[in-house]
Amino acid sequence: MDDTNLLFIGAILSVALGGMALRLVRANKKLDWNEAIAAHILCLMFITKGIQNAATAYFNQALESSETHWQFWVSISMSMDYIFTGSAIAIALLYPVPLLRTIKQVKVGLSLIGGFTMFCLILDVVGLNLTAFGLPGLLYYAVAIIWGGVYVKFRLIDPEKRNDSTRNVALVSGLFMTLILGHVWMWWPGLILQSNYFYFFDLGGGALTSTLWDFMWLSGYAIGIGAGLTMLGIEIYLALSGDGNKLLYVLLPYFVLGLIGYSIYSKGDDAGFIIDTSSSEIIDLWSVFTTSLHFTVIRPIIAMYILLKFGLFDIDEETKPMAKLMSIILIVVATSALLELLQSILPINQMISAALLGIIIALGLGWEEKSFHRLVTDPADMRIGLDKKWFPELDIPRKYISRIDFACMIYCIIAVLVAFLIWKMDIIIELATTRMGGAE
Amino acid sequence: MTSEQNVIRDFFDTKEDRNKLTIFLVFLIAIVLYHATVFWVVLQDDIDSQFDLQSFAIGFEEQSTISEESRVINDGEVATLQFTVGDEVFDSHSGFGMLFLTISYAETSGEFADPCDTVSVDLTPTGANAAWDDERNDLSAISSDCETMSLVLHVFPEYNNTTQQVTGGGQQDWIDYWTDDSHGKGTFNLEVEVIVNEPPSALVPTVSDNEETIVVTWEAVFFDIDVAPVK
Repeated sequence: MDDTNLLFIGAILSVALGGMALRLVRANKKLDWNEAIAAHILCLMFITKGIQNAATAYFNQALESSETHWQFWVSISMSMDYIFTGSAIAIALLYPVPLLRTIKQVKVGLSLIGGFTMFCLILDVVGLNLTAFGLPGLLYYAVAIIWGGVYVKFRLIDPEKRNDSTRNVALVSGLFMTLILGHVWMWWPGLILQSNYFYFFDLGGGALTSTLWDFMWLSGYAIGIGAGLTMLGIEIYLALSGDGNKLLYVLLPYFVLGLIGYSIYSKGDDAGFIIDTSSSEIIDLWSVFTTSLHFTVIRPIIAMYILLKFGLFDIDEETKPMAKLMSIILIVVATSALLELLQSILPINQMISAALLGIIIALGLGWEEKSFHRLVTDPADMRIGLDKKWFPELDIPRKYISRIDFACMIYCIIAVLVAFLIWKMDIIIELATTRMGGAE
Repeated sequence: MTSEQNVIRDFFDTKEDRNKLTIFLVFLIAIVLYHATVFWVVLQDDIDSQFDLQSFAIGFEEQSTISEESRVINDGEVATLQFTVGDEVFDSHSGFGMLFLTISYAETSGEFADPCDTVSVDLTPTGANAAWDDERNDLSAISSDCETMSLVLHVFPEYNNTTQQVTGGGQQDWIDYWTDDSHGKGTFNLEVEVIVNEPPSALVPTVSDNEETIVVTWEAVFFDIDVAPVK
């Protein structure tokens, strides 16, 4: 199984879970205004991320042909990434603690984010995509500073004020940061030790992106790693002080994998997850098992956990079957993808792997039954024992919040039209020709 | 903006909070500055030149193996002479560059005033893998005056025994490109036809010219390559 197949699996997982989660979130009338907006955006973020995964996979396939329709897929992929950026920043401003505290602040904040997303799409149309105007790396700056700040504030709050709610606020912030920055954390030694695989990272490939663009994007990675190292340090310190949090078990693997990855990536000429066809097999495998797996499987798992654990679903007899179905889809698809990946490198007979898959899924479903019950019957609270000032009451009718879904749908339709335009006008090919001095 | 509306104030409301968040933000700034310094100062030249294409000089050193064969061919007969290079020769060289053939003959009948016979040769594009369509090839010839004929076949595509300068790819890529033993493997077939030109005394019963001895020299030119980066 290669990276492209994994992207398709990630696409199915994200779209299916995002779609079902959106239905459950819409049905949950108990959510406070900030939770409702954040939950809506989180679901939409995953639907669009799924579309992006599929578009990227189709782009990889299209590159193998001599036709130019790869421009359509790359444009879809980029426009979905803009909405991912906007969604993550919007959630960070509202959840777990709303930093926007008045109707006016919410309107201005969300309008700016929506405007910026559309601005990026316009840059694509006018041939200014992948330039510094698009503020590359903004997502990582916003996530590191906002969720990082919330994490530090609540995780290191005075011991006498520390309670389950403060721990949960810190946990949610940490999980969201893991969701956005996890793949970056696996390159932390590259940043510190000045490795080529980190500093030569070039998302656009060659002269398509300027050195300034590359710097801004990588600078986002750097601040993300800084925030991650801070969280890891705090979690280790607090665990040694007797106030451990499960976030440590989430963070630690990423940073340990970073150490192993350093020795692997340093052997090749490739940078980050940009693996070319001539790269060595071990680098290719490592990238698929770490970065790609994070993008396609771990992200939906983290999102699902947040939705279930922190009460963003209202699980009752009516909604329970769908929530359980989501968990089962997650387990079955994730475990089968993982086993397929293992089968691609280990000489396992297909019959044995099929039997193993059955056993793993059976165990997974058994575990799901137990853990699902624990998750939905014991949701984590973030408000008890916290000053009310952190959760201002705003009267935002749900019908307005539900319009976010409609706005997202309109954006997706526009994005498809823009992608079609870009393909038919050969905008990206012309851009590449101009910036690379004749080479496509 | 009132205090309740300003979240920043709540974040920095106590001295302890201020200190913790300030340390966090200073650490982030330090990381960003460190990254900027490495990117723009320490590794700037390497980063700027990461997509520069490396040039290489590719030199060729030739070695030839020569074999000679003579064949008596009757009047009107088309004989096929074959030539094959052993695997051990391929193993000791980068590639099989060119194949030169010289075909010579003389009038050997010994009859008075016997003119040279007509000999035509044709290196047929069958049997061995080579650049048969190369415009520089000379695959057939004909002679009626005992002149030595020469044929040339370019076996390895684009090979011309002059140092080349190429740009892009890696050193190993070019070594791999010019190391390929599939070119020249197999059997080369040379078709030779002799048309005897009778001497004026051919009417005399004891005088006859009905065959000719053809000598073919096969020169297989192999090459070894040297790929050196050009600074």
